[in-house]
Amino acid sequence: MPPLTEHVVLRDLDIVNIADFDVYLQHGGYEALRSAVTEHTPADIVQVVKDAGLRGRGGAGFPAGVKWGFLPKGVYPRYLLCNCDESEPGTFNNHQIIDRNPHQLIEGIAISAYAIEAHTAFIYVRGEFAAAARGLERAIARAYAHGFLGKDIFGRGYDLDIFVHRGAGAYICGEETALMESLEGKIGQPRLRPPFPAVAGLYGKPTIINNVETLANVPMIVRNGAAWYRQFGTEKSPGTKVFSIAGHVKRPGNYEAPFGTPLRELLYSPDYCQGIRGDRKVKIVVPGGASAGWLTAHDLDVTMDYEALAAKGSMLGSGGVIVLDETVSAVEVAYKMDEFFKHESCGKCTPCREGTYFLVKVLHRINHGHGRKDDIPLLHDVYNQMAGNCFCLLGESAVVPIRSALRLFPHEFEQAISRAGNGHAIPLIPAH
Amino acid sequence: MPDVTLVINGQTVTVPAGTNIVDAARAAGVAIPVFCYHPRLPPVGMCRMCLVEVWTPRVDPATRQVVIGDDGKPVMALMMGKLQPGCVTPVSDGMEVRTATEKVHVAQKGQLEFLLTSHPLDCPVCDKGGECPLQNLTMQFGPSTSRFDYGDKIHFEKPIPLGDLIYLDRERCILCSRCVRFQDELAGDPVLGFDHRGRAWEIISKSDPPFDSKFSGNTTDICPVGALTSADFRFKARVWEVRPTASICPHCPVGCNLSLDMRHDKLMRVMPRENDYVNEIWICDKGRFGMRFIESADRLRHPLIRKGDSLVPAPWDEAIALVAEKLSQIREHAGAASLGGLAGPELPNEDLYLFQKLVRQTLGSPNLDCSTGASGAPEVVDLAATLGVGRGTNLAKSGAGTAVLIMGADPEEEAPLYVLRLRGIVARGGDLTVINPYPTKLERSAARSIRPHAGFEAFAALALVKAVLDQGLIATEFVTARVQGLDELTARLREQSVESLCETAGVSEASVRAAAQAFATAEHAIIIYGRAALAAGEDVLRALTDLALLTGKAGRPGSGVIALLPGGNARGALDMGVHPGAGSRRGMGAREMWAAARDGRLRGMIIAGMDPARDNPAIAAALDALEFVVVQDIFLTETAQRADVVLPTASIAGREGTFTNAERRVQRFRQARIPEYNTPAGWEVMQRIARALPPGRSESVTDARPVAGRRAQRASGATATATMDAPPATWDYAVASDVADEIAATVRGYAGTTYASLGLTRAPEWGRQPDEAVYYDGTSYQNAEGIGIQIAATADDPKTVFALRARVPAPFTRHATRPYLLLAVTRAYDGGEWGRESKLRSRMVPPHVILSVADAAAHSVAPGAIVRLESDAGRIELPVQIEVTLPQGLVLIPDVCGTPLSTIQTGPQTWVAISRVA
Amino acid sequence: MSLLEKSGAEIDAIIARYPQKRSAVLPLLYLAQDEYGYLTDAAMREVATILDLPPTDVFEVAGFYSLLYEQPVGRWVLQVCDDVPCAFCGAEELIATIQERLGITVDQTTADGMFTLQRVKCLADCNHAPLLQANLEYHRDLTTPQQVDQLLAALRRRAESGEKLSISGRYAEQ
Repeated sequence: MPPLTEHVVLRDLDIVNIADFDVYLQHGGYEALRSAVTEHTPADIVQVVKDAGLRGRGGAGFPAGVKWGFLPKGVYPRYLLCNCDESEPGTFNNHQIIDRNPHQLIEGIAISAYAIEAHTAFIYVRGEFAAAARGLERAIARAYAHGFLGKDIFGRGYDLDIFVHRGAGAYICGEETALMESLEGKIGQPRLRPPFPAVAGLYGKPTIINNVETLANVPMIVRNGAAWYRQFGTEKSPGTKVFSIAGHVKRPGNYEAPFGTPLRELLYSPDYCQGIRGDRKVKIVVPGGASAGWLTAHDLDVTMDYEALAAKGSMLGSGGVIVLDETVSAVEVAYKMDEFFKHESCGKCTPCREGTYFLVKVLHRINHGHGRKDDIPLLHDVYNQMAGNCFCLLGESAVVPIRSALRLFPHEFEQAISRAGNGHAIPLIPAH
Repeated sequence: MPDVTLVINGQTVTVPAGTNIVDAARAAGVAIPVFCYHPRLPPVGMCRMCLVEVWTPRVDPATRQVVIGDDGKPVMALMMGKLQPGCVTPVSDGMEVRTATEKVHVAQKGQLEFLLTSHPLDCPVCDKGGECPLQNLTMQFGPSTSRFDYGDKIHFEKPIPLGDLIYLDRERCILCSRCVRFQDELAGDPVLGFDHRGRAWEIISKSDPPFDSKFSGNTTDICPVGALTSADFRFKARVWEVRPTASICPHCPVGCNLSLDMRHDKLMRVMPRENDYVNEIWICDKGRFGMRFIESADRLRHPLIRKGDSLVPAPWDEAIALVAEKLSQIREHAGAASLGGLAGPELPNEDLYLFQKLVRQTLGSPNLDCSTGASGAPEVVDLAATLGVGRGTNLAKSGAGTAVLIMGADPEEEAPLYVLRLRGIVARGGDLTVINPYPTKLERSAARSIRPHAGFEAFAALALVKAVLDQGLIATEFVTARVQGLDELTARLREQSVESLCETAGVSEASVRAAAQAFATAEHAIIIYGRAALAAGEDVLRALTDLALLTGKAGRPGSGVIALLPGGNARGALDMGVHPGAGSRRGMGAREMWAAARDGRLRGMIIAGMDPARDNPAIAAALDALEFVVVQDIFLTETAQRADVVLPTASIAGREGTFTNAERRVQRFRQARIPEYNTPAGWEVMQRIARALPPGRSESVTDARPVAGRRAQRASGATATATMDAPPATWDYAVASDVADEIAATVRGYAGTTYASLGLTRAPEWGRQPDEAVYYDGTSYQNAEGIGIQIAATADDPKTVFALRARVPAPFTRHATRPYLLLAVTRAYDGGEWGRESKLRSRMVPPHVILSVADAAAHSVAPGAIVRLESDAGRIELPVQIEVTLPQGLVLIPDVCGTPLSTIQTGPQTWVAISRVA
Repeated sequence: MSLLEKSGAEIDAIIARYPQKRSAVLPLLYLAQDEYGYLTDAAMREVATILDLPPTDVFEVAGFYSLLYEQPVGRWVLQVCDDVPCAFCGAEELIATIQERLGITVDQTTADGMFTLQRVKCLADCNHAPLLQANLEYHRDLTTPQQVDQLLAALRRRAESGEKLSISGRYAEQ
């Protein structure tokens, strides 16, 4: 598949300095917003986004236009939330979209807010993105100054305020209901569903929440139409995706490519990552952030779209592709990944809170040469006691690395344990 | 809502729509284990213990029709392809729930293994042991071994105080959040939370003082493990050693059902007994931690007789003989009317009844009262006996369709458990209006809070009546049949407008109109009034009466009036006739008695269970002026110290009896132990005195007059009508139930309240299943004693007719030189004798005065500074506290031990001047 | 000087963004920890008072989020990502170098109160591994000890120059 000649999101590759407000304006910036507000009804915008088949980039891939259609009729106020709590290990596109093309995001938020008849939008920015949040605030101020935000936009009586809200360090806040709790000033823990956010979200009001990349696509769809958008990607996964590729590749970075691009091409093509560091062999590819099932060197011909990856027992997820070469230990990778989930478990439900802790304790001892002969069945039991039983997807995600590792590299666990030498009893009573 | 039929483990069950799977299964006798779920808290689905298989008919996405299989039955699909938490999954038609499959067992075992990973397994030294859901469910559903390495367990410093009452053992905590949710959602005191996250999560309390809630003890009951334990019970006993004894809390008019858990004759702990009509499964901390006084070393043990300046122990016979001799002497030389009796509203009905029988009938004096007669004590106006909530009222069932109006009351301090009851009504969709001259915590839960200027409460109350008239909110049918004087009332209020009345009261007209609208249009409505309403005077009560009458909110279950009167059995005291208007001859009330004592008209007094001399030099002086004073009490109170004879009695733990609560529910308490120091029950003391009196001297055997017939009732006024039928003149009671039988025979309304009848209330249909506590709390709140009997209010008789009596209050004038209005306010933790040996000692409210921010600033006083308050009656000096939301011009003084309010109060509302001392 | 006295206008502006006051708790806690160096007990109670919140709720929030510090920290908080993929791209070496250069271990603060070193999870800049944030400013591709030395020296210079520092990242630039 040829690389894009025209980007949909990372347009800084096509237009130098598009992050600058004036440059953005010179290249048709905010025209899509003008067109939406002055020439279209909100329903028109919802329709074109539906027709384009724009799928949510936050991980689940749910069609954005369909989601917008879930709002109960006649209930106001409504809120639009832009999820920029990007914290999934190996994922770094939201952050860079804000840095590289902030106005397209702001315009996308404005158009989407208009489409769902919201007058307030919050961008929930991960606490660590302090600089990005400031940059975004400056960009928003420019848009306000030009009347693209605020009162009576384009003289059509439509008002919109956009506020940047910084989180403070919690992966779970990327979960949409936890994000709402956090934005309401509480600890970020997921809510029960139903009610769903479209019905009762932020402050109990109808709320739509979309990822940065999703919303950044919207101006181009409105400007160029659904058919234009659908020229990229596959039938079921239309458009392009900004893949964050990092780890043991020669040229890590964000690459916007059409959905359906083969993984092998992303890793080896001179247009993308240019191969593996030191020309080693690929051992593990995690194609959609730490929550995605692992692939191996045998899977590199998979195409990068929702359907193909699901068929492989993995997922496209956030589009964060972690590539690890043969120098890594599968045990250590699983341990590190579950250490992440343990660190970020919010504590609300038993299987995630206790299960991640349990997994990490066992993985830690195997990884550090103290594994025991019953540890492999124990690990299987522990993740099975979590799988399907957790309150939200964080706990379910924590199952993925260990299950992948045990499925793909059981011998490494066996070796690690046999090296530990059984009979080296770990005292039942702690020494301290 | 329509019912839903589903199948649970093969059983077909029909339950109301909206029922969750755990409750539906319970209805079918199937126990789904839970930790975070509690039937009295909204479900959260956190602990994942209740995971079950939920199968629903498969629906074809294209046709939206249920797919029918080859066998002609719907094809079933596992919901979401995984187990579902039963507590947050509502039932639906055609659903099939399977709770005992291999998949479910694995999940249950798994969650228990997880919950036990860091659990210390210190059951042998855990207070919860034996009534612990974690133990119970592990036994039934859990793994028999743990695969978690002992060395990996998380260790915490062993129990840390969450406050001075409740300890937290973080190793035992399973983070179910029941305690946090109880505090947030039921108690409305959001003082608990979680620190950190994930496995490091732990409960914290950062209020000042920590865990600042009057309901904290309940968290130890609903804690499904031994994480929260009470300072009062820690390491005292194993729960299977204790013998629960049914009791009733004597501390406030709610009448919470308690269990005194005794080991031999020692009180180990106080627990709630479940009674949906009274306290559900909750009690306040005053009830739970305020019963240690019964074992105080300071208890009176022997009768005392005055010998010169000192009181010396004496045998019972000698003391009783002396009392009889002195009382009959006074009666002979000065007449029966020179005797008087005061009995405290904390005494049981049996004591109060025989007390009034002794004084009124045997001694022949009409001078009886149950209030202290202090200068600031308001006149008790009792609407509860007349309009009181209709028989059959159950506030636990009130919700949508019920409007509650709080007028001049602070339930949190005056009757704490009502806070939970009222917040429950709000949570179930009811409407709450709070009208009070000063801020109270309950107003945070109210739909509207109306704050009249102190002294102008009657105008606000009358504005409600006027709004009802204005807005056409009259319940015509009820008014036509049962109310007189509508035309006259309309005429009396003709010159008034809601607007002007609101302006005078300083309240928002819109709020008053909204409150009137909510009250009148609700299917049920309840008025609750308390100390501030009584202090504001009779006009407030007249207006409230008319509000209830005009809107037809009386005489039926779920509607009416609740009076929060001081003392746990004020209702009983009034019903038993311990007030000056109860007999055929009106006698002197307490205040008149003190005046009579000072000028020699009153010569002798018998005082039971009351300490009027406390913090009251004027009453102390009046007592000293008497020829003879006999005091019956359990402690050597200030009043007792001035007595000629002191007679000790048993506490409620050492005898049995009944109390009547604010909703007129007569409830029996049982004897929990042999009487302390062999002290007799109060009623026995009365009998001994009566029997010792010279025979044949009683003047007036038939002191009562016939019950009023069909005529217009004055709904207000404790001085209204006689409530007693003629009692027999004999004194031959062997046991408490003999007294209760006579009460049933003679006291109006009490006909059905014999102990035998009370015993028939033991199997309420609302009760929990016998094994329910095993799953939810481990702790049993079983109520084996019964739920008591609610006696009828006058209005419950459809033949009674009431007169409308609201009137325009006299213009309220400010004092020329004393610009601040002083109100005495009740504090639950008032430092009284009940608090002896209690863990609540540190929470007792010290004497202080509360000023508004502006008034404090005007006098340049900071918190802790001393100010002098001066009234026409005298002056006192107190340290200052500043209350941010207190209106300017209003001064509050908590009525607590050590505060000589009587030296400054000229009445319930007193004009004072303030000056800074230090 | 209280937060309100010092930053009243900023606090008002923050609160004005939200339909409900309590939403301002994170920004106010950021402000408070910059003002007091970390979130002291008194600081959290002050925020509770400003927002009419029960103090427990504020402590709860402060305890939940990793960028709110309830213990004293240095003027520069160095947060090194040790997650996947950084863990396999030199993060451990980077941490070792910093520990050695500063003479502290993870979660410690240098004696002069200049640096606190922490391990953190993915900082979402994985193509520049190994990396760290210093007061939430990114410092990327730190593959050699020399780079670490230069960075530490530069940070120290900035602190000593009197530059206003924010452990909350309120002045962070790209």
